Amino acid sequence: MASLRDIKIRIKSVQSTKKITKAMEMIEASKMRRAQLAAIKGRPYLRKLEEVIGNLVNYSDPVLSHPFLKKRDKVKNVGYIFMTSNRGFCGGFNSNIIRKMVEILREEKDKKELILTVGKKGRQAMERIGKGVLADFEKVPERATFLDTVGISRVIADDFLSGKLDEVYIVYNHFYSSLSQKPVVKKLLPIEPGSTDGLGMIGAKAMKHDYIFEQDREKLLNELMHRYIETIVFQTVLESFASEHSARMMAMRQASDNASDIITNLTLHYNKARQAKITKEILEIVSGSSA
Amino acid sequence: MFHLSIVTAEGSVYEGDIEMLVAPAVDGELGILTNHHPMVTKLGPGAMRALKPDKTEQILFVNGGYLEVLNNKVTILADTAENIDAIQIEQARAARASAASMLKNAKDDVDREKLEEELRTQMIRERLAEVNQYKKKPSV
Repeated sequence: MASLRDIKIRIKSVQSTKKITKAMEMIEASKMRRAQLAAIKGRPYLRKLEEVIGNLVNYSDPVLSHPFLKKRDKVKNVGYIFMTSNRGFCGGFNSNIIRKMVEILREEKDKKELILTVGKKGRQAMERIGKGVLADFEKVPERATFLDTVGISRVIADDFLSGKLDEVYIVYNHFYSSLSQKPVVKKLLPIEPGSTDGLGMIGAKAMKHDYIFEQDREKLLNELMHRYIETIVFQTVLESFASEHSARMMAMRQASDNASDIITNLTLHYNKARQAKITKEILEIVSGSSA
Repeated sequence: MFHLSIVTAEGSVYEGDIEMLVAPAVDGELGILTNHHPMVTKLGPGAMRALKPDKTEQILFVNGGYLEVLNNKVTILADTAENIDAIQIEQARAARASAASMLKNAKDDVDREKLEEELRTQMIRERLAEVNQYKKKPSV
């Protein structure tokens, strides 16, 4: 059995670790609240924008077209926006998403993948497996605004339009709740407008609306399309931040709980050792006096 | 009556049925009543007035965005939208003043154009806030 002193030192060290994890848990809890709120509040805008674009693309007469909507016959270059965190200590947040990314890279052998990373951990992981990174956006600030992420979507849009990329996906952690965040692969380009809530459907055939466009139709659609991918990128950044802080808070809570368990155990050991020592001393005294 | 939803990237701002909407399109104000033809337009900075079924009016300041009308559903994707009662006049004045001083220091024509646009937006916002305050004062 370890000596009393050793146990005492270990208890002390676990206690100070617990203090740190507890503090980090509290910091992350407040960051998490803000990040979650931002992510949740951003969702309706994306949903509505999706709806409007879906309506325009699916139901407009004459049919609208835009380069973002066109599928390429031959998909050679695939772009991935890979979102991780800059810092660690967040449980499975980064490892899950990195595993997913590596899986994708292994599957798609015949295509050329170009990766853009948001977050330091993802870039480092790609470097480790010897995969070059096209661009890195490590410096997206914690309280990201729309303008902070426009750069990312602009690079993507330009490369897609110039033919450098044929398809673009976003790989990120989607925020479901504080307890659940899952790696998601979302197709960004070309845009596949999902049919909306069956608006104007007659039987199986969609009714076409002849929209009035107050401004130039092509220009307006172009603006909306760009806004759409900008919004998706922005929203996924928000989701990723919300997931990161939730994951880190949970990881820190776990660590604090573990520390508490260890302290309880060690204290038990300490008390047992102390009692054993006292018992031993009494025995020694008794046997000494009777002799 | 038709349904109106106003959303911004920062969240949903208005959701409900209204009787009439006057929206600030880029090329002039635009009135929308029930059974309006499907339409899409870009919005400029200005006041968005919604007449509710109880005949009260809700006025919001929007600084741009898009508007879609389809099947008695109006969707507004605003860049920003704020209830004019929530605008602080002092803050609006300061924002206008700073926009004006920034315009004076414009680097080039592209920059100037952008800042002129910004100043115009701030002037409209300030004016709206002032008119709103004036209206709210009890008449003598």
